[in-house]
Amino acid sequence: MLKHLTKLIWNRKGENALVLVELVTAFLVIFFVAATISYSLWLYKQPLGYDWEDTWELRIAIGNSEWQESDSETLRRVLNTLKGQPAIEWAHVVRLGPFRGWNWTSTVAYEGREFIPMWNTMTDGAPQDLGMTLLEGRWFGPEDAGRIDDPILINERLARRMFGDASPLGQDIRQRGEDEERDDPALTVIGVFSDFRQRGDLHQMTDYVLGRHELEDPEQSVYSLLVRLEPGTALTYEEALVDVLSQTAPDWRFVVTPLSRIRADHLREQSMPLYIGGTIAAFLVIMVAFGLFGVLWQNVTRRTDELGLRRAVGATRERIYRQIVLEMTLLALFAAIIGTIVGIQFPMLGTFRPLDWRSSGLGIGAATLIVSGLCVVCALYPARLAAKRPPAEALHYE
Amino acid sequence: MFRNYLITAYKVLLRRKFFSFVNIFGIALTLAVITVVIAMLQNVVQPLGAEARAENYLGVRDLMITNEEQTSTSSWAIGYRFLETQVMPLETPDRIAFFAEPREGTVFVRGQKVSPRVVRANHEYWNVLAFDFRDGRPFANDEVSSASRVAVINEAMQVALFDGNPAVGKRFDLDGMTFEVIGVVANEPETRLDAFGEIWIPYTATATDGWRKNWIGPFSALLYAEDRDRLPVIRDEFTARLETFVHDDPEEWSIAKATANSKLEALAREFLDRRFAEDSRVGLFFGAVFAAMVAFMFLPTINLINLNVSRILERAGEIGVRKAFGASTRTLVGQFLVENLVLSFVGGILGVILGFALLAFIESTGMIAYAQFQFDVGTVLAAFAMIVVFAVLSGLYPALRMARMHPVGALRRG
Repeated sequence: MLKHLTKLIWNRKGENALVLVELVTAFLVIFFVAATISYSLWLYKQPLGYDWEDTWELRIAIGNSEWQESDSETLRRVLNTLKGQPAIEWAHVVRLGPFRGWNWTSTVAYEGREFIPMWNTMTDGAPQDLGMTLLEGRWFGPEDAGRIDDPILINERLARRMFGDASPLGQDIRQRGEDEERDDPALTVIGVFSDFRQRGDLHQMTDYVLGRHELEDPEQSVYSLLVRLEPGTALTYEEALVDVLSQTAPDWRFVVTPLSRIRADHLREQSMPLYIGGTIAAFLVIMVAFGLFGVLWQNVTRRTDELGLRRAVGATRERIYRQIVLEMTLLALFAAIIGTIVGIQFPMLGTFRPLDWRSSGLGIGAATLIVSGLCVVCALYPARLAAKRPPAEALHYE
Repeated sequence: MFRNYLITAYKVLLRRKFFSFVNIFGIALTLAVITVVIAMLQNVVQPLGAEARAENYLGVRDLMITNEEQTSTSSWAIGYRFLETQVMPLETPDRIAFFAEPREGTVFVRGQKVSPRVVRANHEYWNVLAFDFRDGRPFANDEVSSASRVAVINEAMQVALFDGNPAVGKRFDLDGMTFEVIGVVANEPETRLDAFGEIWIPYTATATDGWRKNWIGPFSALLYAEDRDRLPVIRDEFTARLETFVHDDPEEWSIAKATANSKLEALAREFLDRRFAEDSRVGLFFGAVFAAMVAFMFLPTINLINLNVSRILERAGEIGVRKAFGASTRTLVGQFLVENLVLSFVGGILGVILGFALLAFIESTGMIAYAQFQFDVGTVLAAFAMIVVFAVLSGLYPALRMARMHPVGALRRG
């Protein structure tokens, strides 16, 4: 049966080839969109590694100029003012605040292998207050002040990629360009945390290095702070807060934004391409459905002689109906096989990270289902038409 | 002859209404998406609104400073020191406007926070750009040099800060400084990079003036010429003057790279990531946009080819007769292409209408601040050019197949 159907399809390869090209293209479009959406959903479901509720970002603009040494004195004053506010639970320097898409990378080397993690610095206590999870070792604290080496914490992903199963604690790693022989201070890993997905819910997992922000060092510039509010603080508190801060630091400008709003903006901005891609793909699929339906209808009318002959030699309506639908399903499966062979290249080559094995698998599954579903649905009505035609009329055709 | 083709096309269109609908529906959807893309591009490139004189100026937006070995590089917009030493001394431009990139400010209105995008500009900014003043006036040279706390606001801010009441002469607090409103201008969309802003203040009106020391900074400059033929001269002078660049720290920063661009060149540079390259490769940019559109049209085209092939086979009788009476392959291909063009134009017109409806929807969502997509002849013409490409692509193969049909077989089948 299957062999025979394949032969029938082969006999009309001219027309079927074009339909096949259309199906394969549709398959790839659906594959791409479905895989990207499933990857984004997966990212969204992964824990961020910190709490953002009731937290405000305080962005600082220093009179439109660069950080001066005197600004570190102002910063200490600002932090003390913030900590003195009854509505504020804590205030910390977090050099790159969450959900902003800010990016700071620097290459580190360990035993000749190089990694390009993202970097950030925070003041003592910030990781604990942000609800980050420590897996091994310890957080930094006041006892780390004045060390010659730089104590750092790394995330689990970097720890595993760099050190495998060995413990990263106490290991020295170097920034690129710093020789072992030279006396540059090394970076010493003092702890491992689960993750800090700084750029937000819809950004890829990255290697991450967390350094200690030293308030005592006048050269460490600061452009943003995080403050946690007592639950239930009204948004209107913002005006009063900016007022108090402007008195403490008249040269600085403050822009206060709740993290919840930055996150909402981030989610909207990052998911916009998915909505647009999804809508366009849906339009294309509808168009392909109409097109297929038309082509099948025409094909069936033109195969009256062949189908009539089958009826005349005893094939039931049921069987004609089945033949048409099965032929179409088979064609859809061919398309799915070709599409899968193309699609599987992405995770195999690993060039495009959103198309990993998991999301590619889901994408292939979704594309196979939608394309074959489409073919079957589009074949149903033309198949019924073909089956309904009386054998006499069909044979009369010649 | 041509009239006959049109009549046949019309008859064919009516014969199988369902398939005609499918054809037109597909073309309309495809063209709607393409119209939206073209309109968005036009909106960025065309001299519209306050940028009406855009063809008379070149913009200097990005600056990179580095050294021979490239051990350090730093890049962003141009800083005030660069403006002072490399831009303001230029002799060929008739006017030189400059402005800082929009920055979010904070204004409290009855306890509610408003976050306007604030632009700091010089007085020539108002002469180079053609803002539509609804009320009041721009700030003048002496107000800029005395760092007066005066501001021009747009109509949206007039509503947000003053409930839409006449605003000129009123005061408001922006980031802890009090400004007096001296003018109100029409809203300019976010896509007009030179004109966009919500509040404009003199570039000098800041709490401290640390920005005066920076080479890399928040500014862009517009080099304006009354006679647009002189723009190449301005560009040459600007480029030549870059050679004279001397930084305060000449060891670390010996080279400055910057370019003076028309809006289209700036967009091409941005898109191709060639901000500091010598040429802007506008042609390559157009090629890339065209290729992307053709790639997008691939699936709809295959879909149409399939439909057209089956529609043609249905007309075997007609074709057989025409061939039997001596119609050549070329005539038949021509006829079918005309038919397909007619169909495509019907779909295309619907698509353009649908596209503008989509643009109106995008405007209403506020996704792009103050977006206003004009019904632009250029957009429509570009969309129709794409229709012709589309029609020829989807019509050629079926037409050739039709023309190759054997007349005897074709006649028998009818």
